[in-house]
Amino acid sequence: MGTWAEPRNSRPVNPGPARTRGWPVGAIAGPRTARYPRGFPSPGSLVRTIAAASALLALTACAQFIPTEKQVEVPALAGQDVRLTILHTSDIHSRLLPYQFDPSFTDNGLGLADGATDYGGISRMAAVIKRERAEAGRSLHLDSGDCFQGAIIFNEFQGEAEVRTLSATGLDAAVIANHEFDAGAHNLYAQMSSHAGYDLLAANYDFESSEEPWSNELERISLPSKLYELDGLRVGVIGLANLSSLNSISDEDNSMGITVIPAEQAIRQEAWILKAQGADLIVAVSHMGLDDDIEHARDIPELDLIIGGHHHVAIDPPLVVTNEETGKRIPVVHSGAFAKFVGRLDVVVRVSEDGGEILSHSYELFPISSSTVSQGDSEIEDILEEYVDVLDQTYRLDQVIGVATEKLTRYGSLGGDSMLGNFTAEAMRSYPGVETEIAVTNTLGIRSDIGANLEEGETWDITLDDLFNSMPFDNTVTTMFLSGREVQELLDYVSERSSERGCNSQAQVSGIRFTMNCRDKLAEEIFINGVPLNLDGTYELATNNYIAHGGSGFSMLERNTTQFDTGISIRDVVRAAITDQYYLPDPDNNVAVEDGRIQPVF
Amino acid sequence: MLLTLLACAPQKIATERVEPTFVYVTVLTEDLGSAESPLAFTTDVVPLRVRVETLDVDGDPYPFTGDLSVKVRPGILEQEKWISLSEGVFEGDIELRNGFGPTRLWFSDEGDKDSSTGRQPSFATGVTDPPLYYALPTLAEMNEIEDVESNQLAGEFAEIRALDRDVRVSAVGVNGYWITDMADEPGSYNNLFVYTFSKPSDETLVGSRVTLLTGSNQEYLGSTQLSFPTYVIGDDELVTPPEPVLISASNCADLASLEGLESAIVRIEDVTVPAGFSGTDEDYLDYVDYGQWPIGDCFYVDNNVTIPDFVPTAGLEIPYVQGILNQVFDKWILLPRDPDDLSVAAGGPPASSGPRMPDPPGEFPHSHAPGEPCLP
Repeated sequence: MGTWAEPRNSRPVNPGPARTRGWPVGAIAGPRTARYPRGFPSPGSLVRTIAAASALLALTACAQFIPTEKQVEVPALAGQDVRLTILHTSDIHSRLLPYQFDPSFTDNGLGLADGATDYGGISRMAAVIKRERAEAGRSLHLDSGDCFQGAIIFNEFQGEAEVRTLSATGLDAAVIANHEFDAGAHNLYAQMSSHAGYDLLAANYDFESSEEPWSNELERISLPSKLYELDGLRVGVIGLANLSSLNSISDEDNSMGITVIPAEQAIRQEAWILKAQGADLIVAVSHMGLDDDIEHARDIPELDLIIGGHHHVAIDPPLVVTNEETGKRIPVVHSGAFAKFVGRLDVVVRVSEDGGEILSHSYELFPISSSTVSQGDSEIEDILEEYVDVLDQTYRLDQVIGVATEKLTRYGSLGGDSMLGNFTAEAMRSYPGVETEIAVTNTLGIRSDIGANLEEGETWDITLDDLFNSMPFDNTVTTMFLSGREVQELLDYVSERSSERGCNSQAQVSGIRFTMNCRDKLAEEIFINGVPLNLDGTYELATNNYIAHGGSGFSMLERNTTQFDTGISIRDVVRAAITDQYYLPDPDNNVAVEDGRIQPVF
Repeated sequence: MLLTLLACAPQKIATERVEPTFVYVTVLTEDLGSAESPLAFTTDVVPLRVRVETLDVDGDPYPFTGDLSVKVRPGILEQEKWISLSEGVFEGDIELRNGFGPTRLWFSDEGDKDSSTGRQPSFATGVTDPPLYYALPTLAEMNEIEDVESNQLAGEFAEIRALDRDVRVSAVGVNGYWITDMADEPGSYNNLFVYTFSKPSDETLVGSRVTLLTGSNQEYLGSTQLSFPTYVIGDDELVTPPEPVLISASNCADLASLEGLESAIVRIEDVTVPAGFSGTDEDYLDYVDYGQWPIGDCFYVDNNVTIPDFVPTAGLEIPYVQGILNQVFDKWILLPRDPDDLSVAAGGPPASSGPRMPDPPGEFPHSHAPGEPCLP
């Protein structure tokens, strides 16, 4: 399969890699433009107009002269109602294989019942998606990004399995999200150019302004937007890539090779191009997060639908946001994370010469578990088998490294410190060669509970697979020296960030005890190993290299010049600690228990 | 030129056309309401007379004989979900209820009711246009229903009628707020919890007026709430929230009647913590796990977040307790808003602590999934 080679400064027409599906057709794309001031026409509008006109002419020519496979008459839709079905997924996070999980009450309310053997899995998702597309006329499958990172299959194969299985699922387009870069920009290019049968979209990334070599690569595998023609209905899809979680992206000379285009400008620009090409509807597939999606639906009149992700929320019934300028009611849909749900949005569109108007919508969320999907898709299972065999031989994922005597939780029951958080921070701080006074790690670096389905009185064998699912990131331990004032600033930031997330602590600590005041967004009553914090003192910190580099907004760590990346994998540190301790938790010795070291105050 | 060449790759347009291609719907009922003058929201069954015709790919009448599926969005269909067309036409009444805002009927070719006919559907769909236009429901209209664990807009994206009402914030919590429609009588289903995940916006104060409210309508542990809300706080002057509604601690015979007070501020007087509240008593074990403790015969109090230092003991006399009435499955639990909401008889433990705000209904501390928001 070749790469997507197209002239610089122009967008590909019917770009690149051979598609696994003949549908959709009629790919038309304009130039990937540089940034222009808000408002239209921009200086490049003439170029775009010519490009759009050329593309339209090309399409017209094709319709007349190019042989098609069993071509049938495309209906004239003006004045008619037509139905469009969008299957959507998001934040799969490498959960290609079913996994153990304890559904929350919220999950239960969305149809994900307790008691299933296991949950998620791409073959079950594919079975549902293919079934639903067979029960629909005009349909698209859009994915809102972050299919990478979250299970060992990503650590080992760097996204190849994700891209191949999504392609075989029949995915039409996905947006670039933050975790797609977890193994590097070149890796994203390599995986997509080698294995993708779907379009990768990002309208708010400009690759042209960068001198980084991989910027060219990223440009080749992505499009800002694309027009899909579905039996006469022309659906323009715009990709809105993530900004907030890519801390390096907003640096002046960032290493991502990406210049950010303001989302509103990107949307309006692409919508203009798509409309010029005859789009009836404008759909955004977004990884910007729910708040941004709502804001865009409210403020940008060109949008008709938003298919969102990033915040891992499944919303059913979906939101409907009224656009302030046009009064249009814009459905905003999110289908959660970790392969737990597939969403189906149906809209009825009244088509006119000026475009389409959504008259009504309907929504269904399909839970994915052994209880709800009896048979996975065999094509996907065949693909996965190749990877599972290698994983089994390489890692022996079912090897037992410890025993949980109760569920080990990643969140604290009161929003403060947690069992796994305390255990991880203690392990980092006390690991031979690290041995610092304090440790801080971000809560969201721990991705799942261990022993989620453990019943009272039972024990759970902790396997290597459990550890990878809980700690999928290949982060390392970084040490640095902080002044007492910097410790105060660090914990103030933790309090502020946590206050915006339901007062659930966004960091886990060791050697530190403090009151997290979410009301005033301040850390109070800070004790370091039992002694009140000395603002003029110096403390050695162990943390992970992700937040050490400023990830998740920890900029006070990023600027520290005493950083030393030990290169020691945090997952290895925790694995060693589990093996040493073997039975977890150990309340008598305060191991892997909540001890109130972070006291939230609302 | 390159563009043209690339665009001219062979294309698969479709393999076979299944008729009908279009469904065309005419509304024969005259009074449909409008955005300016909507019909009153109603839970009564309403007939809507329609003519449904099928068209072929050229937009000409297509003599389809078979079934179309019917649904109403938003609202509830009060009849069988199939209609039968003969020679491409159906004319008759469709019964529905609980529509709100612009409400449309969908007619879709999804195969026949009897799937054994094997007819391949075309998925052609048409909707009623213009729509029926209903007023948005008030809080009371949305909440009042016989099924205590549901509401009239269950499963819908809800929009609450607020602009011409007097909807006020009655209490503010750490991850949401409660509202009361002051235009209705106390206890008339006129209260609701709005779940915001984090602390509500700074202008969301007790007594402030809500002029716009939409959200995903969900039942959480038995209580109705709006999640992921969009709301606007008006610049009206703050008002004093309604006085707590006095209820009897022995009102156990018909707990369902309390539904009208769900999420309202209520008060119970002169009660005692049961003498058996200790050891292996089921209520005591629940208290240890979740934090709620019994008063009277059938009510509970959860002071876990707002008065965390208060520990109830068997036989303790409580001159009064007040707070938000919250349903958690089959239990009714009062959530005191602050230490002033709990009075303890002389000699009992102090009912005071730092000013912490209450958790939302159904939330034994953080039982709402803390969520997995922004990733690292």
